[in-house]
Amino acid sequence: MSTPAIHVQNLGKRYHLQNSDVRTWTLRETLRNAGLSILSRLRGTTPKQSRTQEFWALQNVNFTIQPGEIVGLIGRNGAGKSTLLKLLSRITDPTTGRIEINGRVASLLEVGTGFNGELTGRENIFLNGAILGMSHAEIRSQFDQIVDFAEIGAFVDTPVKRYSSGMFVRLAFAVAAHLQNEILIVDEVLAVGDSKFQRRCLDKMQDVARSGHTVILVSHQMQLVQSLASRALLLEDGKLISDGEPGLVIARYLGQKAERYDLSRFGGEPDAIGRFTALSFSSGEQTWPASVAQGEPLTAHLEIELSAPLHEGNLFIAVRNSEGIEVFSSNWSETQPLLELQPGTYHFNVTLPTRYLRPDAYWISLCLIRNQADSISLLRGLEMPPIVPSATSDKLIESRRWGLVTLPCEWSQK
Amino acid sequence: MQRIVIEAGKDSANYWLDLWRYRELLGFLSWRDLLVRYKQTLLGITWALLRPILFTFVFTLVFSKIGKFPSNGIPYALLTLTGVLVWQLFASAFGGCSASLVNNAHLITKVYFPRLILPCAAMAVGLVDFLVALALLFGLMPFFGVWPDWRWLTLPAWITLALLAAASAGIWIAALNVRYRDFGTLVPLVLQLGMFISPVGYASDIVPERWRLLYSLNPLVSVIDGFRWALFGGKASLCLSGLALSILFLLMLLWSGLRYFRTTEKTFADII
Repeated sequence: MSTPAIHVQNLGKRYHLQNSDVRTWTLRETLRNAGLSILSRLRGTTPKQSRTQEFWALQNVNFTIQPGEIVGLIGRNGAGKSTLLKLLSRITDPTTGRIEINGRVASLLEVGTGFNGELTGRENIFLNGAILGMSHAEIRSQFDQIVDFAEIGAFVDTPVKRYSSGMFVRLAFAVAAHLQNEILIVDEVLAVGDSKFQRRCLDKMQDVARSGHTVILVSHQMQLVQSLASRALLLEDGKLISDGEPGLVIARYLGQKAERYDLSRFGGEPDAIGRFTALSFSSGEQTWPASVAQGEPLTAHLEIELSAPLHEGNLFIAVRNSEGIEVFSSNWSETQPLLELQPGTYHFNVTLPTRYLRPDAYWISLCLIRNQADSISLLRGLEMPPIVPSATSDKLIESRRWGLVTLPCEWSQK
Repeated sequence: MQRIVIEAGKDSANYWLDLWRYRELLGFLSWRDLLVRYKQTLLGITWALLRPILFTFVFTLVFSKIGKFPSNGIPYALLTLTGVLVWQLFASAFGGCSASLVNNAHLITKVYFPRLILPCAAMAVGLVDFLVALALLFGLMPFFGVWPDWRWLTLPAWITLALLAAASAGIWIAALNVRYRDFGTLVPLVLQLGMFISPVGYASDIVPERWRLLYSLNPLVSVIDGFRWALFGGKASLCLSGLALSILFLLMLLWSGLRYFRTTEKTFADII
């Protein structure tokens, strides 16, 4: 096996948390503590414990990354992702363990680090390049490509403070995208610019990786990690709990343990005549699968309770993706006559067209309607099993796909 | 290919090599400070001349015309201008150095580079201003009948000594300022008082001989005296034992400052 790009052993980082009554570490406080500790030592007693608490942001993390891998780092806020990136980019020092890095590291923890508003675009390209670790000669040779990529054209000699925010972000990313460093560490910076520019950034990232560079990226957009990464690491409470194929790791991250949602406490006014009481999912024999492969069956089971007769009733479901976009919706009345129900508990099933859903996390909204149009119970943001690529899917094809849904198109050649 | 090993609790083995690798960044940061300083100013680099001229005017008026301070035959305006130039070089370099880390907190928390680059780069602005003003001084000297001699060749050494004084104090303050912002408040106070404690507006000869060595504990005394000695020939006195004491003191300060800086450097990003 070749030399790993990054080799991490038993990595840990401990922070001292200050109690809330001491916000800043003042000189007075330090002098006071020093005085107290001398005093107590003179008295022969041990000094009182200082008012700080320990907190391990990262603990016992081990992994090896080979050159050319694109690794997605996922986890909830506060799981230790940023700390790990900071350790890898040498901004802060580990408390325990060892990191070995082979190659020059460029870390993009923020778009436009070190940009100065007073300086022109040209000056900022050179300054930012140098801060990110490019040599003067490298920047000079890439200069025209950077200006082209950023599409700032005639504004290259205008102070950056007069740029629109879009131009600013494009320029900042353009510099970063042309880094020649072997290892690129990226923190959520792709969530910038318009969608066209984002698309170009993604393509650029893939080019970078294809040319043998190593990329580590943090993102909350599972779809991005899914389509870009060849491997994913999942952090939880400072520990590495999953490492492997992105689809599986994402599924674990998004995975639900509950068998069904108990909705009896939510939705509808107390005096409403009906409401949703439970929601569960199944795929074939399996109840509430951790994830569902594209094209596999997925059925949502709804339970409603009526305290009065329902006249001209209807059911509504909408599915939203991880970016918050409603992907599609459906009504009971599209295929069935309006409901006429007596008080009681009823069960309905709705099969979801997973074949058309791109791998991502999804949330559903439910609505119960009477008299054709009056909503009597509305629930939003119910998590459903995430969709992952099917076993047969081609990663390359998947990465070429774009848009909200996967629709079958007939291709032919005449 | 570059290989980096980071181990908990261990010093990076090639710190000084890293500093050398990042020398271009040092240049870029200095260049940035220079550009930003005079962007959107009407007078631009003229400010580097205007300030010493105004100070010289006021000091000459107060110390020479009103206070009747002696000058050992050196034109009083030149005596003061030299003092003001050296003082401003020190003040600007020291001030820049002390504030460099806190001013660049956004870089420290987002990118790696040897942090020592920041205080070093911050001294460039002061140096460039000084060189511009020094040209003014050279241009004025013939009008007062002062001509160059061999002692002028020692000028780079005195400039180095002034920067050494700024750096050794500045590195201490810069590192302390990261944790205790009190030091940031202290710096302008020290600079204001220091201007009168140091022989900026007067010649150091007026200090009685038996106090000279004690007076030399302020390294700026030796630096300013050295400049005057170099520029005005034998007319300004130079206390050699005081100079030796200053250099020794500065080297100790620099050594301890670097040590403190190196041990706290790793925590800058966490506490800044």
